[in-house]
Amino acid sequence: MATFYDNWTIQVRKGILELCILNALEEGECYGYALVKQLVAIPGLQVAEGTMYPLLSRLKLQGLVATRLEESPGGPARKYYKLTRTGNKERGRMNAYYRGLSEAVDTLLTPVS
Amino acid sequence: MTTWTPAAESFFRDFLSSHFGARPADEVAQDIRCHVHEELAQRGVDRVTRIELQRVVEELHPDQNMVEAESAFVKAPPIPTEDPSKPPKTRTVAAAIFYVILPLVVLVLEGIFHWCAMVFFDPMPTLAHAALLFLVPIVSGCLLWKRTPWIPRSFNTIACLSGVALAVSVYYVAITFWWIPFAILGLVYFGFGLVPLAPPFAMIGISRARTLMWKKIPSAREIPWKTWSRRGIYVGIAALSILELPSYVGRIGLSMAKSENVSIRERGLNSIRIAGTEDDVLRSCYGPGRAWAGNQDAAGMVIGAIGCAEVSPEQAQKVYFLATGTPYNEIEHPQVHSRLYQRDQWDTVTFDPDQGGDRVGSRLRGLFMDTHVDASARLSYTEWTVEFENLSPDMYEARCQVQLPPEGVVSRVTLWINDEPEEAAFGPNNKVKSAYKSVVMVERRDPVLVTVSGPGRVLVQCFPVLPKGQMKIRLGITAPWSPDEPKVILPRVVERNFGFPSTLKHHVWSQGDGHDQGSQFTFTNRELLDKSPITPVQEFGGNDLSEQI
Repeated sequence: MATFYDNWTIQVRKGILELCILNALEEGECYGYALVKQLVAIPGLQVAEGTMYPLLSRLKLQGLVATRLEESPGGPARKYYKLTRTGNKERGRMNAYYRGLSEAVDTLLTPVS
Repeated sequence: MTTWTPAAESFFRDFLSSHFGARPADEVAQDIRCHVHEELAQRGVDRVTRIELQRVVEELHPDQNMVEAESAFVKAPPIPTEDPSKPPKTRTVAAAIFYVILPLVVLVLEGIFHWCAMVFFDPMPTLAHAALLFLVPIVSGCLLWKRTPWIPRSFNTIACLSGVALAVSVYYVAITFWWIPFAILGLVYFGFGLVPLAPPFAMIGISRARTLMWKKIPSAREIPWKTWSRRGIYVGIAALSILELPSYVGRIGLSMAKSENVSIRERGLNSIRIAGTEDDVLRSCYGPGRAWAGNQDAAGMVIGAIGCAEVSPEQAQKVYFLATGTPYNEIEHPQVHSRLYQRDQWDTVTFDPDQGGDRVGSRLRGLFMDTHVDASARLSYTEWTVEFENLSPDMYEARCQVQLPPEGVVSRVTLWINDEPEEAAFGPNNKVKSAYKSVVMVERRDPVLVTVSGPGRVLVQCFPVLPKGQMKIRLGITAPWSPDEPKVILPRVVERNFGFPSTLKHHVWSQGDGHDQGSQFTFTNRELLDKSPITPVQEFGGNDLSEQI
């Protein structure tokens, strides 16, 4: 049975996962597999590899990311993701909001002894 | 080519249908398929079995609803107290100091003060060498402190550069490894010795940075990393070969060219010509000096260290003549320091091993000549006043071989001491030589020695030409003269260890009696040098001096 803490951390991570994806694509185009591996490796995010693709698919449908396929010599075509102009704009707004929220919440937090 | 077993194919079909049902062509399903293929390729699996596939699929967490990502998170993670991918701060600072800052600082200091170049060898003789060396700590820094992911294109570049940097650092550690124990001992017992350890630290730094890159950044495990990294190593080796190989070939050629065996000698000479390292041979002609290491590049140090290139200055001088057809001292004194840097005069001064000896040795700089000629009928008498000036901070011996006029003899030698002319004494060769040596070597003051050095030739030696000082001598030369052939042949310098400034003027004054008339004229050093590479024979008749000159 999931504890209150477990449920809460899931909600938090769900909330920031899209922010992480958009920021990971900020430097430019990235191969899907490499992007997933990079995000999975973020400490604390603890996201399963298999869950990333549905999210990427949804972001694509929403016009925040674009994809292109590149033929691979040894397997299926590779899919590269990149941020669209809309996606970049949304990323900026989300970053600003997240920073503001984080700083505001920080003022409420007391140090853990 | 990856092959799948039937069991694996069946398992994967079932997996996709169980999670995507009737939508196997769904984009997410395609993405998952692509992910699994890539994961298998990364693991180097050539034959995909069901067990192997199961392992990969388990990491996708198929127990979660893969379509509805919102509920697809795994159990709550432990509270992250510290970013595990981030090394402790003290380690980060230490890495910055030893892997990046120390090598960079040492390179900058070497560029300014040439410590290594003056003591061991010149590590940065060209800009290309400097660029390669600076690349090592810079790439280390980029790899160690790059936190954000690399985009594919720049990732390939940095992978390639890291390979170049690794090759360069390994080479420089290989040629300097012998001083590492001394540096460690110095560090342990005396508290200094960090500077010589910069090459191994730089090498460890770039190796560690590459490893960290591979382990910590997921995209580093992409296939292109290995490919581009390997290409970088090849590029580094090629660059070093282009820069260094000629020096090694030339040095080996020099050691072969001193051989008594004709075929070995010829191969050695050919090597020098092919490698184009005549300048290195020229440097070897001057032997060790105060800045002796400035004569050395890495090849010189390495080959010298293994002892197969012990070449004395005399041997090098002979080899230089054989390789180029030009006596070494007819060429401008080589710069003993790196070709990369501007040198001052101090740097170009070379110890003069032939001081007080019997032969003409190294060329010195900053000596000037002023000439006067006095000719008379039948028996011509020429007085040649030569003034040497030494611009260097050390005292030097000026030497030259003078070709006398046919059948001429030196009949008078005058040395100016405190602006007062003093006449020299004549004596047997051995006696005057030993007297001169004792004065030069022991008392280190004031003689001039003129000895016969060959048919019609004399060797003139003057010591000391004081730092920033001058020395003036006059040679009186008597030679037969016939009215049937009314001309006077001037003496000339055939070999010398000093240079002519471009503004030098030779003042020639002639005087005759009977039907001859006197003439006086001046010609510049450039005019003389244009006619002959050293100093020309000047012939003129009593009546039409100016026309013949």
